[in-house]
Amino acid sequence: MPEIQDLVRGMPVEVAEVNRSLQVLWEQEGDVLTRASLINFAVYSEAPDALSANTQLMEQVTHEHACRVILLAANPAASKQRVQAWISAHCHGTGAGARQVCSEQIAFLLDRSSPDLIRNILFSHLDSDLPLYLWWQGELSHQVDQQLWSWVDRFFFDSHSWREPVQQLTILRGSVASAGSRCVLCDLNWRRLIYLRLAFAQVFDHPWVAQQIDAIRDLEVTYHPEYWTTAILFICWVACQLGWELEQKGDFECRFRSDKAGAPVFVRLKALPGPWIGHIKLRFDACYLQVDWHGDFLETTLQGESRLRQILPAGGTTLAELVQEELARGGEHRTYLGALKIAEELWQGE
Amino acid sequence: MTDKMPVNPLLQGLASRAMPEPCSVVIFGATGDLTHRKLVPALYNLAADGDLPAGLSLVGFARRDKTDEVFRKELEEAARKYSRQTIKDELWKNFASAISYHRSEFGELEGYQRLGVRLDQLDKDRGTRGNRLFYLSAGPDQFENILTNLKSAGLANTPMGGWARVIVEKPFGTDLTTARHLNEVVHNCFEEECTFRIDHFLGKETAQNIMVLRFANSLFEHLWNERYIDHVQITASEQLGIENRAGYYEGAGALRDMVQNHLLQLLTLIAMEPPTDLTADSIRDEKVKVLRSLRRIVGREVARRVVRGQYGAGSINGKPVSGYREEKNVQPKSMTETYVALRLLIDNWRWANVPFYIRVGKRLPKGGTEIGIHFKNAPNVLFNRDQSGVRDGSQNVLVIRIQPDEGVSLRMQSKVPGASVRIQPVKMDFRYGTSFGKASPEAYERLLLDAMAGDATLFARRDEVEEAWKFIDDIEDGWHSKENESGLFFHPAGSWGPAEADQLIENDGRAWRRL
Repeated sequence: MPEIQDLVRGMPVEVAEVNRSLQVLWEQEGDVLTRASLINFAVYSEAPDALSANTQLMEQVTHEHACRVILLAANPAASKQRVQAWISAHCHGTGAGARQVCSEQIAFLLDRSSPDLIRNILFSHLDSDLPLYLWWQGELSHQVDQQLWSWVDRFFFDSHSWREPVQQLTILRGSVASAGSRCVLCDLNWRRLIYLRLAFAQVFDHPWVAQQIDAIRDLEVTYHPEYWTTAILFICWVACQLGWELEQKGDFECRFRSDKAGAPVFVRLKALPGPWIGHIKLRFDACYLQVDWHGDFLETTLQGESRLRQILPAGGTTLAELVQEELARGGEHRTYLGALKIAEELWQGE
Repeated sequence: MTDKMPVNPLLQGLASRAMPEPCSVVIFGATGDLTHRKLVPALYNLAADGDLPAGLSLVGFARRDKTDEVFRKELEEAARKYSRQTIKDELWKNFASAISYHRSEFGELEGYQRLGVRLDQLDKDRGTRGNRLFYLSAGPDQFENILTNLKSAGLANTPMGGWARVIVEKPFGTDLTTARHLNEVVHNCFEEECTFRIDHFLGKETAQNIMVLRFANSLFEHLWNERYIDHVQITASEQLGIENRAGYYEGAGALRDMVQNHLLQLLTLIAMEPPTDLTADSIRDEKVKVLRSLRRIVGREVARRVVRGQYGAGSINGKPVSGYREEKNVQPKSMTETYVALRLLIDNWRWANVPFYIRVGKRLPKGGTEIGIHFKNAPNVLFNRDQSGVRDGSQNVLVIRIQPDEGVSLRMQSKVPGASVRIQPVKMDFRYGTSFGKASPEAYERLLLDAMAGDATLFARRDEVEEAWKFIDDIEDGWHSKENESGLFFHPAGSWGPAEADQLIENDGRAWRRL
């Protein structure tokens, strides 16, 4: 009888036999299953239930993005070094006929993991010639060694999950720089904001609103109490795009200077249960703009000389949907790096 | 004209492509099939993906009496039926609030003046900045009427520093003379850079991928010439007959309907030189050069290099179907071709003596559009020594499938496992559907977005259209000259065309690909 955990993780195999076992698997199923892969997607976590949770998550991600999934569940505190492996596949119907398209998954449980072990396990199980995307769940430590960094094409993380964002960014920057890596940083916390930013930005397409851009007086952001870093990223994006400079910082209130406006812009943050960012209110001299998050949609309302109301998609809210979005749309994220410079100052606190 | 609107700084870097400015899209012929099946579903899908400017408004212009409410309801039903995404009620409600109906005759100037007032009001209400995109989805006989009235009503120029663009659906004329006339009419109203002649084939992922395949992979470009390529085959086959299009098709035929636009466009993408950059004009300059280099088929050559056919009664998918001449509204002695096969040559350095075979037809056994690049055989020294006759199976063939099942495959030779040296062709296959799980957007989504953004890369330019007609007219003249009348060959529906088409390629020691 297979153990329950094996049912989720897949078929247990010897680490040295992983590649051969995958070949056997595809030879057996070749008539009805097609293996597809465009990237190596490695997911590292130190959470106790990481393998099960990430298997379910990648089941959804692979629906839209064929890849070789490599799950690494590490337990650095274990007393003895031991590695266990499982193989499985995420298969999805293609819509035409009975043929299914599958992404293969290799799951590893790494007891007493070290940077050497992680690098070795990952390198020996990559699908050759395909890009490597590494998603580091939780806090960054020094578990990624330099050679591995230099192989990573896109580095996924979620700054929302960091307890010490500034310290984490320092580690991240240091690691990337020391390896001379040119990997793209993909912050899922930034991805959370994409539809919100789109909805907010599009209001300024209206000529009348565009003329008010230098008459912004204050910005109020209502966020879920656990998503303060997300709210800060949003504010910093606005500031960066509109050329505001931070004058005075605080956790819940800060002040920017806008040279074009010649007047300060006050920013307030309010924590309330609800969506990540449930409400944004931007006050101009002569009107105000609101963005409200209602379930699957964002409602933008402009009250002033012109009245506008728009309903726009809010995008997915699960982690799997954020990763899918990032894989589908992710670019170089230069705007993110601009916003991050200001965010670091605010995340640092007073 | 006032200054251009400043760039919205908040939109910078938000998406992988520039978000178009808000605009009003006016569809002429808004009650027609294209609007219901393609245009509105495409616009809704763009809105649902967050790719449309929020301020966009849609005005349907047509002759029938209809209220906004009824028009919206009809479009909603169509969108629910034809959209690739499930309709979300809230989003549809918002999208529908931007839709209105404008009743007018196409030839009634006053109707256009009222349209102008309506668009000015939309600029104020929805912030569309004087940007207008006119979509000519009416019958081609109405194009001139619509264009001249747009100009007379002052709608071809816009206030507030906005833009006015026009999308013209095919057919772009029925021959060179009519195409030139239509181009002249368009040109009198809109600058060439504001004119978008739409060919939905160019909006398909695989058509767009041809340039990427050729110019982003160092593997192919070195081999992409007469030294390594034996010949090229372009096939567009349909299982369908003419459906309800007899009125149009009888006067057009397969050559005008498919070859003049879709297939010559694909040919230019395959044969063009690398452009100096990716701007619309650089790419289109190279495409025009290919059309100019096509060896003209004139006089007696027409019968030797072009085969025209027509389907008779037969069966498709196991069901009997009637012949073309028995279709509704088709003349019983119609000489319209439903099948064409051509042997083309491109007289330039790259393609000297490489034949391009094109075949297109209705009521063929299988539907599909693809391009096959057949490479020359490896020297008959080692493994190919004993092969003889028609050696189709031993060539490397790169196949670009445009539809369905978009993708690319490469056929190569491989040793069959075993003690003896036996060689067999194997196929490496890339399919969009399996490699990229997400469904590709519909061609019209991409093309509408491009037109809103002012990117004409995937649209045909005036000289492209005219050069293509020059080439086609010679063939049509050859077919219809009394001294030199070419035959029309019949084939049963459900077969791969007339035997004469097989002969056309077999005369060169080659064979059509088996699809």
